[in-house]
Amino acid sequence: MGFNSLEFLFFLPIVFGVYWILPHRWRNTFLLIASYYFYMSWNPWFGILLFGTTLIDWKCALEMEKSALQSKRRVWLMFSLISNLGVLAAFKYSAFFYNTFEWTRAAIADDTAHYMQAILIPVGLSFYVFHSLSYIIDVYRAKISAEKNFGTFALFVSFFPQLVAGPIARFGDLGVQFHTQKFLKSEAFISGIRLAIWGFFKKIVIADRLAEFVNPVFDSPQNFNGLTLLITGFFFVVQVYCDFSGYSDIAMGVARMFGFELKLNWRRPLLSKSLHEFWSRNHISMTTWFRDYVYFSLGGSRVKVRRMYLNLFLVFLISGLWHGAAWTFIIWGAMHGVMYIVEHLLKDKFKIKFLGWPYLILFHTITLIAFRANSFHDLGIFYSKIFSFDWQLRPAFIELADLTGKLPLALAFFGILFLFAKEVSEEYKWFYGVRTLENVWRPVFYSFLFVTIFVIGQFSANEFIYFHF
Amino acid sequence: MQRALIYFALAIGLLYVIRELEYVGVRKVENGEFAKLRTTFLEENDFDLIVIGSSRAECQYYTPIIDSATGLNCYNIGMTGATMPFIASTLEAYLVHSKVPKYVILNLDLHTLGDNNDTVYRFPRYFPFLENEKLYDGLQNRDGRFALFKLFPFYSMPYFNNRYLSNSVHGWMGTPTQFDDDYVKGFSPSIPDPTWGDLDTAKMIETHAEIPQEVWDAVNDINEICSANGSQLIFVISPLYYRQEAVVKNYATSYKAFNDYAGSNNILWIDPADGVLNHQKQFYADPAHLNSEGAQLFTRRFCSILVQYLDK
Repeated sequence: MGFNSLEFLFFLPIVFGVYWILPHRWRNTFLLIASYYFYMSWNPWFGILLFGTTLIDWKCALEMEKSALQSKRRVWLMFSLISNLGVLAAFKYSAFFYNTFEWTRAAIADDTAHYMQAILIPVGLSFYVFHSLSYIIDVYRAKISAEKNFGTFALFVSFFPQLVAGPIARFGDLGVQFHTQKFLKSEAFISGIRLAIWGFFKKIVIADRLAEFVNPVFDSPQNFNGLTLLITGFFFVVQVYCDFSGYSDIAMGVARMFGFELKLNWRRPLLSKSLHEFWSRNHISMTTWFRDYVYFSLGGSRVKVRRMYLNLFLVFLISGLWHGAAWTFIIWGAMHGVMYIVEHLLKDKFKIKFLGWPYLILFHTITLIAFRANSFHDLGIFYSKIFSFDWQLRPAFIELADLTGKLPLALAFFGILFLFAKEVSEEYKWFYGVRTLENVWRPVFYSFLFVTIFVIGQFSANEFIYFHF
Repeated sequence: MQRALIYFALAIGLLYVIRELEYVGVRKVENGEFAKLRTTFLEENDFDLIVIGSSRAECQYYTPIIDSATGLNCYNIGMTGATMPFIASTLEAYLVHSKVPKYVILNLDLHTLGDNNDTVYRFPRYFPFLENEKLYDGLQNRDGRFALFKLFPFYSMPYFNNRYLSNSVHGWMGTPTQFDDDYVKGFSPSIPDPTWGDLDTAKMIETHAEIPQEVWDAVNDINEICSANGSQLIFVISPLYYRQEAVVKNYATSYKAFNDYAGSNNILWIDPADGVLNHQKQFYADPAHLNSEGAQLFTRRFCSILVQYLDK
């Protein structure tokens, strides 16, 4: 049951109604049951895995807190890390590592490689493992106290708005909110609805429309000219952003309707003017997670400069691998790592003020093609055609229009323009503080979005991309 | 909060208006599948002969050839994916507005009689035509969601797609839609499906020809409608590629059962699939559907037999 499914249209009002009718002391229990129901609607077995890892982490944190000896605390930490990362490795990376080994063995021995089929990855595994890891590491670092109540901790891990695709919550931010009594406030409710509508608009009207072009082009790049491939790469940039930030907006909006605040996860990253700025605005909960738990653990910037750059590079490599178990993801991470370091080295040498935005968009497009390419071979086709600079505008538009028709292509461009217009107006606060706009036009605007979702939305598509991460 | 509720109500109201505008646009289209559905379910027609059935009826009876060979004015209301109970419903729905035809041709799909889907194949295409009560009843009987589809835009509109939007825009502009421009009087050729590869080596899908009771009930309904209106019902067996026919279990038994039924109910029986077309793979889009060339050849053979009956 994704947010964009009809089942969710029934699930949410029922859970919302029952939640606010129940007395405070029963609400968390009810939310926990609803969250497990939501998760197990994909596959009931996934719920058992989620419960198992949650139980282990809860127990490890409690034992860790009880232990006075640092060595004992470390043992409990390692136990939790191994169980979490073990689950992640078994489900997500076992086929990747096996196949890489097998490919290498076959190449050396001049033998035929026998590849392993990928295991079905539980939805949102990477996200809830990261929720749990942040908790256990924070308890180890004595930043927070271990949660005594198993139900509260289980709800923190499984809270349905953010369970399958984030934002990656910290117990210090979200967990503590489960202890306070909630009151239904109309401002919070309406603001939650507004966020959810905007999230649905981004997902259903923009991202899923763009997917109509992205999917066939990435499935057979050999059939398209270089400019078509570049435009489709840009479409994918916007698709991924709208898909994922749309999910985060819906998650934040839904959580707000229940009286909870999730951390802002996206701050208009496509308006960035450098890669540094991009990573401070893009998927913030993941970026800060890697900063706090990987980069700092490696020594962060309190080491020699060379080691610091190595740390940065490693963080990007791991981030690529976290996104998907394939070499194309690692290449994507490596390209970002290298460019991030280059920017760091050059930051005082010269400024690229006016060219910053085109540079960022072009770099992000080129690298994200690696993220989406079906194989190394396809990636080679993309780059060879794009960098041959045999770009022809008219044939490119004809090729794109031939995929689904002129009207869907026009709607795709409309969606992109609409997105940028809204984000630029927010970035530069064009309409802030104008009372008429806030009181009269804002409701009209969100009503318009609501209607537009149904009129030109693409409901036949697809799960959220990040469900598979 | 009050203001938000008012805006929400207005937005819902607007959805109803927009959905209706979209439906009107779709119903205005002059070509393609939606034009066929409008002709079939909403217009007052006076055709001498109609063809009913599933996709094999739709793509194998080339209506202009029947017109010229028989001198009759005919129309093909075969619907892709229709099972026998829904075929009976389409005939009932057709007769709501149209005059009774002299002849009703029912194409028998002996290889898919057991298909009993939970819902109707590509059901959103029928949404703009639900004002035809017989059609609505037929759909609602097979898929209980149709009441919701009819009542609530937020339930039906997610099923709209590019075809809908494009057809609606073209309908309002009065220009032909880019989709389905190969429809001729209800006939639409089957597009060859390359995934089958060579039909002489492709793996055929085993099916069965046992006749479920609901199929008999629907055939009885069709027969009763035709008898009550004075239409001559004609059963036609159209060809399957011989390798496909070979893996249909009970084919001969069902063939005989329908043949007996036709004999005892004054129904004409035509079988142009006499072993010639069955073996020529160049005439097939896939093992169960003739391509455009095959459809024209089949229609000529069918007409040559039909004309003999008409002369009598």
